[in-house]
Amino acid sequence: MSSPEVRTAARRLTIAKAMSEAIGQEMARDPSVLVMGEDIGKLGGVFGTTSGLLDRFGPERVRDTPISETAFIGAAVGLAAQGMRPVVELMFVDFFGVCMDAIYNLAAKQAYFSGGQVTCPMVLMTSVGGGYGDAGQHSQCLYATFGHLPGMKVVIPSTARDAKGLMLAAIRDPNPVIFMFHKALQGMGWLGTVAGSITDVPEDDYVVPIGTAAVVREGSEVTIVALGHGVHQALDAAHELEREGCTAEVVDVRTIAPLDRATIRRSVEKTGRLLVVDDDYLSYGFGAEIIASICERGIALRASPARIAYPDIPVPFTPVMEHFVLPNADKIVAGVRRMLEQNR
Amino acid sequence: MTDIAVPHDLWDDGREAAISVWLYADGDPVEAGAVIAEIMVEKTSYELVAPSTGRLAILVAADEAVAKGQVIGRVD
Repeated sequence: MSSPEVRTAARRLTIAKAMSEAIGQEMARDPSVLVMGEDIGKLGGVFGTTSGLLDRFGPERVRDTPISETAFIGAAVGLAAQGMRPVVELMFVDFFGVCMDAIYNLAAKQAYFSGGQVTCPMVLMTSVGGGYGDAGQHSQCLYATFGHLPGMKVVIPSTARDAKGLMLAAIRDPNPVIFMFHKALQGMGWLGTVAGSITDVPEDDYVVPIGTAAVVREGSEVTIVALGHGVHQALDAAHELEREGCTAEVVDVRTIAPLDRATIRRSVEKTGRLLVVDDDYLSYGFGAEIIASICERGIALRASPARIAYPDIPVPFTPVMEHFVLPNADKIVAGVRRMLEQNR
Repeated sequence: MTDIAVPHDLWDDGREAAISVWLYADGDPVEAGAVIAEIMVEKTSYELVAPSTGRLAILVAADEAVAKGQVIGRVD
């Protein structure tokens, strides 16, 4: 940014544009990177993740595929074994059922089975989350489902800046990375864009290391751990709690696996209270893993840890029912108030 | 003070469009030439740039339908 011709003013991008920019920059730098998926070519991705790439790189490297995740994700695993770096889009994470063998039995275990001789440098990007009335098979998060299985890294950005840095890290990783993006944060309008996800994004090359959480707001009374859309709800709740004299610290995990437990522990050691926000199903989930990570270390808590999560039911289609069960800032505020009343 | 109008040549035909996102909030400083909003026509997104440098006033909120030539904001 030292040249006088380069614009130095702030440049705001949506997560969708930040993802497209990262993939495009890496395709320009590394000829082994290619993109495949449904509607990722001519349309630029239904969630805007590949806009402009077909025009820049052509149909050899930006491939629209038939509606067969089994075929093109299986093909990506093979390409990766041969030294290519495929980025494939599973349009909705909900559709993982038809291609999971390629993901968790082939991609995730490739390096282990071959004693490290053959790795699988592929990125599977996939949309998660609801909130816009798309019903139970287009609105799930499944963080825990993917985070549970060894051999894959799983990331989810909450801002455009992190989206670009995580995407560059994901493409360069020698092993499979599941890059989840929350529909509410894509900046697509019809999905209900959260303003906080739109941030200044550097034009140059930078990486957000996989496996590093970020403290996005400092506080001393309670630690709120969240991911994706939940980070913005946690920040809204922290703002509300501050008016009541309670400063909340917000940790954005950014990577689901491997989880940055050290950053979460440091925060909870300071605040003594822990609340986890999760829009995935409650049971056997992200919140349980975070809370166990704290309790196993015997960190003294001033209140019982709590989860604000999605209940163990399919996502309703009716908006009023869907929003009743989804996490939101009010539920987080109420959860923190209940903890503050415990006065241990 | 400069009006921000939807360009008449932003897309080809008379199809309905909507503002998909404002990249800046009402009252934010913006610089001439910076992309400040995206407008969606069916599933294709078009960028709108700031006509001048100043403070952004949003007159039509995200998700609202817009027509070609319509003034959707101002740079003061």
